[in-house]
Amino acid sequence: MLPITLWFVIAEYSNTTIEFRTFAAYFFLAAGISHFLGHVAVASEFIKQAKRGELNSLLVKPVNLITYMYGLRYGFVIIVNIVAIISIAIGLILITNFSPKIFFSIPIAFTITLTMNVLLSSVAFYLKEASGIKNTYYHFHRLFGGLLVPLFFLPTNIASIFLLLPFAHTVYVPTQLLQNPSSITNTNLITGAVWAAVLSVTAYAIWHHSIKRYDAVGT
Amino acid sequence: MKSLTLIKANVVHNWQRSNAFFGNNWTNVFSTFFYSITAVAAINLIFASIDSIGGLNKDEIIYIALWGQLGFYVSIYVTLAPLKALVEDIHSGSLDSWLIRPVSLLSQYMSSHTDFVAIARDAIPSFGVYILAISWNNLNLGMLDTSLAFLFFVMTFYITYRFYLILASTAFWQGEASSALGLMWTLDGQSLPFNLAPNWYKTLGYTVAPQMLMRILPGTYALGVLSFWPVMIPITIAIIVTYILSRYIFNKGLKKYGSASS
Repeated sequence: MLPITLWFVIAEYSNTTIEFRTFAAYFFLAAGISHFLGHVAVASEFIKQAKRGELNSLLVKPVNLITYMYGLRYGFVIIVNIVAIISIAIGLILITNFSPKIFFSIPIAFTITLTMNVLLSSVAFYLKEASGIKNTYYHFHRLFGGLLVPLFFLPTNIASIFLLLPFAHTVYVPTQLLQNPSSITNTNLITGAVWAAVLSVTAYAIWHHSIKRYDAVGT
Repeated sequence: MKSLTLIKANVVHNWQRSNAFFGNNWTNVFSTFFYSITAVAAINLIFASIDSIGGLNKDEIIYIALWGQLGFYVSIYVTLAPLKALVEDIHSGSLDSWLIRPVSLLSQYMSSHTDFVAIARDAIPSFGVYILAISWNNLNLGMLDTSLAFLFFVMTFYITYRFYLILASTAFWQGEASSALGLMWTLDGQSLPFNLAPNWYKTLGYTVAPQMLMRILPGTYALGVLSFWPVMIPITIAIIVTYILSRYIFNKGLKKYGSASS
């Protein structure tokens, strides 16, 4: 509600004609999607466990660490998912202009979010305290992903640059595909897919390198 | 005099404790620094499409946000950190060791858990970003309004502290109040001018989320767009109410804790 209040004030008292309903729907959808995908929740949990020295006991078990962390997230933090679904529902009630392209965009958003979580978790193998780096990433994610300012509100040249970065494909693109699909081109979707592929390969390589190094030093 | 000696010892101990892990905390500095950069960038991006909000220009909005940052660091490190420690000690039963000593319990927690090093470490780089982002020539700041803004900052801080003391005191009955204290993060407010905030936002600020007042009221007042009495009267009432309530609830809780643990 609080970011929506800020946009209500801007819509009401600024010299521009912006429709408050569009902004309210945007923020409900964006917050819901971002929460549902998990922001940096998995990396947070991983970094916390690494800091407490609890990773060793997990590494000796036949579990995939990332799947385990996602299990923790989706199995136990049910309330966050419920709030995310309610937020998406409110956004859809306010404005719905659904495009089937969303079924292409959501896997991209999920893959980029997952790979960023893996990359941030990998930092925990090298640093004692990686939460500051995770928070730094989160601040950039909020700005470039469109959680602070919707990209459609920005000057076109700046929005185009933001759309070339991976962050926008985790929040802004799926949100627009539920609200104003004509603003998202096929080129935007392909850019997101390329980011998802590149980040997957990078995350896979770094994760396996880090975990081997941890195993060798930490045991 | 004994209390002063104890407070001094606590501050020194706190300083040493924070400095012992100073290297580990560098990433926090980066995090808050980049938060400030993204917040200032967001304001700049908004003002790329508009000229003013309610007659206030970009620099005035960043100035309000600067006060908001000051409010944030003071709420987190001066209010939340000591009260969290108090709740943890109630939860674990460690409070017993303080009850048998002839010291003021709240002064003890405030002095030993206020993280001055963290304030300096995290806040100064963050303030630097805001200060450099403002074109100070575009601000029309008066000495009187700025001084009164500081007064309102202290008063809203006091309301925030007293309000969260009430929430922390519920731990005497429930054994835990960390989630209630988490309200400070959830309702930390926005960098919007106080005079333009909707009534429900102001009502929340004066009742259950005083940190929202602390974030935006002093900065807006310093810009000279608010009148004195309409601000002073509700704040004074809020101080009196939160003081009486927090004192009553804290003392009642402490008695309950004392009788249960003795």
